[in-house]
Amino acid sequence: MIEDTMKGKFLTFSLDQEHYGIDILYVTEIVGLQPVTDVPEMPNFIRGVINLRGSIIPVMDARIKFGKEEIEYNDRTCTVVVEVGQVQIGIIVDAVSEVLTIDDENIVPPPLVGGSGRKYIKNIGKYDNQIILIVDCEALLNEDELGSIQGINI
Amino acid sequence: MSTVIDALRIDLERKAHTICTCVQKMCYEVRKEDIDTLLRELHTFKSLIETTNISGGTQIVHQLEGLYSENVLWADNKNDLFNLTYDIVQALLEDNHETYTTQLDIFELYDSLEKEVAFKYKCIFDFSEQSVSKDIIEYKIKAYVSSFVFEVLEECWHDEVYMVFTSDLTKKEIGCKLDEISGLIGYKLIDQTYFYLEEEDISINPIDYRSMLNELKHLCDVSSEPEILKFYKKFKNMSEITINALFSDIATRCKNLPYTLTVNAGSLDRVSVHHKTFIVNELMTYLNEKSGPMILYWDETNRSINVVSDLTNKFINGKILQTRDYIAASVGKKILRQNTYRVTEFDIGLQINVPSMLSDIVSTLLVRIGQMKFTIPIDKIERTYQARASELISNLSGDFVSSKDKCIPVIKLFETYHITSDFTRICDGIVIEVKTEDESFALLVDEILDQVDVTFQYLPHYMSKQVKGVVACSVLREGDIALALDLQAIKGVFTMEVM
Repeated sequence: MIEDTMKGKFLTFSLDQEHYGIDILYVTEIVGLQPVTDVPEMPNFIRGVINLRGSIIPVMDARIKFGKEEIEYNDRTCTVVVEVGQVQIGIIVDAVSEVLTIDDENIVPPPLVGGSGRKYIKNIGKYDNQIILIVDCEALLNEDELGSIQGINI
Repeated sequence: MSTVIDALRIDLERKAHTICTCVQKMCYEVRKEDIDTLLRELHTFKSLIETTNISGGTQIVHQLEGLYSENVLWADNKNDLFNLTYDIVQALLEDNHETYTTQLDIFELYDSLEKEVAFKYKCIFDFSEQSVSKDIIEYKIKAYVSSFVFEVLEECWHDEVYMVFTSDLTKKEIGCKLDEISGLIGYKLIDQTYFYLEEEDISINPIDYRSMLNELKHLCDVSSEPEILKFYKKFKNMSEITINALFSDIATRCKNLPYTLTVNAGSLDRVSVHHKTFIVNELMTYLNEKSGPMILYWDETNRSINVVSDLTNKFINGKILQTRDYIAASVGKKILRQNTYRVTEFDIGLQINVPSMLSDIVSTLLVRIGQMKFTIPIDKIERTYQARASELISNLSGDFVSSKDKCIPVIKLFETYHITSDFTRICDGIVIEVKTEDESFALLVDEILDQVDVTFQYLPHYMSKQVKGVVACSVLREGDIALALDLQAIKGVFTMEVM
């Protein structure tokens, strides 16, 4: 029943000039930017760990992961905490927008062209005149992915 | 084209069959990923076949060959590895002592095994079976095909021909060449066994290559004992090289434990290969063990079980297990069972260097290196001080500090973890002398901040496997996070760096 009500709902966030969406089922919570503790020898996109009410959560910078230019964090910067299977991680994004309901007919597969980053985009959604790149959380939070050293270019 | 597809199909079907057989006969679970991989391969295979009907052409052939070469990475001998490792791993998983950290080790073990197998022993696979018309033939096949960069064995038996190919030959090409050789020899080759090496294996690891060649030649030297060769066929899926790789890997992973696994595969000969014995060797002090030596016996064929109790005149070259009491007291448990028709079962409680229970409260010293905070268990610390320049020794082996008439290595954590430290000279920092189970060493830190009582939370596996020596962290009073240093692991990292 819960899954039914959440079907087609996506938490949207912005990154650079692009809009991304995460299936709401994966989102645990959204928190403001927390002090991040560095962990040595991590891939560049893993910023470190945060203390979220006593729990240690690793955080990933989506900009670096997606091969975008780094910017200074500001008061709109948010951490979206997502959980896929046993993996829980915070994703630092430029700003969180809103939860959108996108109908199935407005969701299409991504084009075959594109960089290797295309593998993190599961679908492309259309909402009004907006294009929403729907993130494939399972691909993004795959442990092999998280263990890889570099971010990629979309 | 169709030859390649058929070969691929046969190969895939064999793998599917192998997995099913393993499940039925060996009474263990095959990893889900393997089945998924197989299904993916089959799916890809099917797609390629369909595509071929439309477009055809050499590109598809190359795709198939590429797919095939990927398949090579999980060769048949992997199943034997599973036989052996799965029981170890399963026992570890079931160990209640510290499930989470144990799992980390297991995944690392598997990762490593995958690489070892892929690297050490590429693939063995068989083709058709046909009868022969001649009983014995001696023939010299040497570089008959230009791509045979290795010498093919000079002596062949009536039913066995060993050849070594390089990877510049595709399977299809090998098939063609074999036909040519068959024609040259004058009869059909049967039971063809391929030792499929790649150039990089030879250039990177010539010892392994030589071992393999010697292994082959060795077989041919015993022409009066065809049984040996027949036996070898049973054994071939797991070569001595692979076993050595496997056990050295396990031994490496266990080196921080109060016991190690040793294997005397180096002393294996054609007789002893049938009765391989692995010995668990505890390095700890002998503690009135009542149960006597325990020897792991592993029967490759899984057909019989012999308990080896008397080592006299055996081919054993290792040390005998002396005690289990210590492990039972300090680590948890280690039980070894030998069940008929099953491989030996291992229950090993891995020693956890940080507290095994998440709820344990541990007194630690909070230190700073650059902007990072670390905790070190107080009970491991012998003393802290600022070293004088006269007490320091630096040489090619690293930095040392003389302490109480001893010379102990200094691990500069800022170098190990690439942290920007306040300073780089040892005499400017604080030396923390710690003692692990077998030896002392010193850690160089920027500053001692406090003594704090903390609990630990483990880092996710994908993090802890990259930052060696840190598997957990703690939330401090003010909400900051400090990383927990695993002293045994740090020492291991340091040792590797020095090597």
